[in-house]
Amino acid sequence: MKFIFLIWKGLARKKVRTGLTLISIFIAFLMFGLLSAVNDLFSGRLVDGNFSERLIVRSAYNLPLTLGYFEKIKAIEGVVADEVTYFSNILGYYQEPENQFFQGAVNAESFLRMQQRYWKLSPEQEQAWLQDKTGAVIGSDLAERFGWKVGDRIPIISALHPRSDGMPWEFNIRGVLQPLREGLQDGFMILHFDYMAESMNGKYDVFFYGLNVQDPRQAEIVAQRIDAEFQNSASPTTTQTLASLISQFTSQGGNFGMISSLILAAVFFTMLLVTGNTMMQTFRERIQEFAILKALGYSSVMILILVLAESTSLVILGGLPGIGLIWLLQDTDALQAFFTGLYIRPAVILQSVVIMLVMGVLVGLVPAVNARRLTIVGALRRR
Amino acid sequence: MMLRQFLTVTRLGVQSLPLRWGGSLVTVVGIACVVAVFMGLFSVAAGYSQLMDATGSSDTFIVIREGAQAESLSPLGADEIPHIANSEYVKHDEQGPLASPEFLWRVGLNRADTGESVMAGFRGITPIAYRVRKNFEVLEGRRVSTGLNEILVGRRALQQFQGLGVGNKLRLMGTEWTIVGVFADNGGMSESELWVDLPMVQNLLPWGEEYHSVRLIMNDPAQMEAFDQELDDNPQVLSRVQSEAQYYGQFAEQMIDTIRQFSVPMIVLMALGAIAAALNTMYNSVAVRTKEIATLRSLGFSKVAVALSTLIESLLLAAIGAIVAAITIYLIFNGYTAMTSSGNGLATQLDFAVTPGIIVQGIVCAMIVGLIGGFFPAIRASRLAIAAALRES
Repeated sequence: MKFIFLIWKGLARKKVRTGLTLISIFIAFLMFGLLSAVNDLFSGRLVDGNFSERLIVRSAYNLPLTLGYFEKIKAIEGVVADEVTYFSNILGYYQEPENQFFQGAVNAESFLRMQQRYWKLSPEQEQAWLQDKTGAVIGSDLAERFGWKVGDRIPIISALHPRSDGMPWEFNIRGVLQPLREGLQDGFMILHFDYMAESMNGKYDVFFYGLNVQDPRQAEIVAQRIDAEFQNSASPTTTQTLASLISQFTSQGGNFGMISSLILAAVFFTMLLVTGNTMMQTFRERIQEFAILKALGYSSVMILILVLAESTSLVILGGLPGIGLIWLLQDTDALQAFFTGLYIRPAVILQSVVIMLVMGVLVGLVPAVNARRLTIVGALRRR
Repeated sequence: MMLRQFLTVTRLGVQSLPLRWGGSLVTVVGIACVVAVFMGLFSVAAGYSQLMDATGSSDTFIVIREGAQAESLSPLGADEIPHIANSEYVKHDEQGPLASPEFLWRVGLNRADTGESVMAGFRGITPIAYRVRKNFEVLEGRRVSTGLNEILVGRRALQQFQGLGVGNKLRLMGTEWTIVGVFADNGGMSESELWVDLPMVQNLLPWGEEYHSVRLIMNDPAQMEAFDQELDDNPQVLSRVQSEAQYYGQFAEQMIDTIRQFSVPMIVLMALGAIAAALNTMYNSVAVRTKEIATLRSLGFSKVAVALSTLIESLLLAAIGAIVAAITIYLIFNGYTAMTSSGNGLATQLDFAVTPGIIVQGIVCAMIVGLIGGFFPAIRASRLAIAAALRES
């Protein structure tokens, strides 16, 4: 208790300086939270852990795949036969070209089975969708983005797959998929493949297959098995896990991981200097205080611990509110407008606490060692 | 009188700066980091916009399907092409209309730097393609022959992907291709593409004779609206015309918007952090110089001179930070090449550009931080109670 009082007195000694230092630390950890979350979006790390059983089969030559692969993939060892579906994408938009999102056309029953661990559709909505061939189900993010509700009729314009009469496609929202886990991104719309194929007079192809494997640890082996199956066909396949696919797509757009690491390095370096400088200043001003503590019987190690505890408290007092604020605000409109789907993983909070402890010790190290070495007489004689 | 006082106080302050190097260094580094991040991020945006300028000419026009956001999302049937090419608005040379039907496909290639597989543009062209691009030139080897599996690679593609040297053989889409030449096209995006004879790629795909775009030269570029109206009125044609500058400009805009949307909050946050650091340093500077300032004030130096000198010290530190950052970022990032995605989702080489405008903005940004960081401590310096300060031990 006395110890905490001493730490508090040390920090409160120069309120302006401590306050300004806390602001620097607060901002550094705020940015750490933000950049980690954005980085997760880009690197496919959000998918990790989730979807480890999911494989995506694409054409090795970017050719369309045929429905003929469906039964063949189901029969491959290690694949959950009931949890395979095919996807197409009409690459359309709602009203304005900026309003793009994924419109996948699938086999409805197998799609729902493949996603059952992640999204839930109420039995009534499921029935309504299965019975309406122009029906669609949408993810909760998409429903929120445009304010769509069950029963709405949504026009979708696609240049790549135009309707034969030149009018926009129209789909009835029959259900909203409810995510069963945190951090899932579901700004998509799911349609009936059969209806699309029929309307396009059969000129409609599969973009990729999605499937679940029985054992996620065997995912790579099953992927190789699938590719081997089609190796000598007219259209060989490339099969990979969903996480590796996402990181491959986003790394092509720019090395965001590197950009955010550089920014964070700059931020933490500055923060380290600011905090370190504050600790050095406060140490210099308090040399006599430490000497008195020693004279009162505090051991050198106690003094060392006192200084380290003070620097660590400083970093934590600034850092926790920083990361905490981002965590609290992550679902607000402002932050979701900054980057849609932003999500702070619990692991990021944990990482930031570890960083705080390490930095706290780091910035306190030099003054702490100096304080430990102080000789009472030498320090007290100083003016 | 006032000026002399101010210069004296400032000189004294600056001379004693090295004695307070710890805090001063923190300010310099803090501000340098903000400026570096600012310049780094905006050099990407500037690079993107330069790339688009090099790619899109305002004298060349592109016809794609109405509503298609990009070339690769724009299927054009073979029956549409003559309606476009034979319009009286299209310029002719001795070999016929300057309208080049093209097909933009994609192939997986490995990056030269990391070896990762990415999607590269694979453009099916006819010999007209060379005639509608006035900056096109073959740098090495030759053009592709019709009817053969040959590839002409862009200068940027050669650098960014593995195994594209002239004479190399490459297996793509289940077929073997020979690389016969390297081309340049004004440093634009097409230099990241691979060009092949159009029917050779159409034959590998299930859609028959399908195209994605027509690039063309008009007799009179001012007539674009009229030409567009003609296309719109023709029921056989589902496409619209725009200038290449317009078409590529929209991608640059989207990209720059994205960068700005991300950068501005980051830079504002960092700047707030730097202001806190600068305030800390300057308050400390005033505290350390308390006796000095009080002595000067008692000798008759004015409040304003003392305040200004504190402000100048802060601005000076900001300027040093900004210059350090500007030089470092210019040396590292100007002309730094990275890979990005084009509007078609294809891997495209991008050169960062640290323009004079960015440097000036970066310095202004630093000066704002320095100004705010020096302002409040300057007020404190001018309000020092002289007697009390002098009595202090």
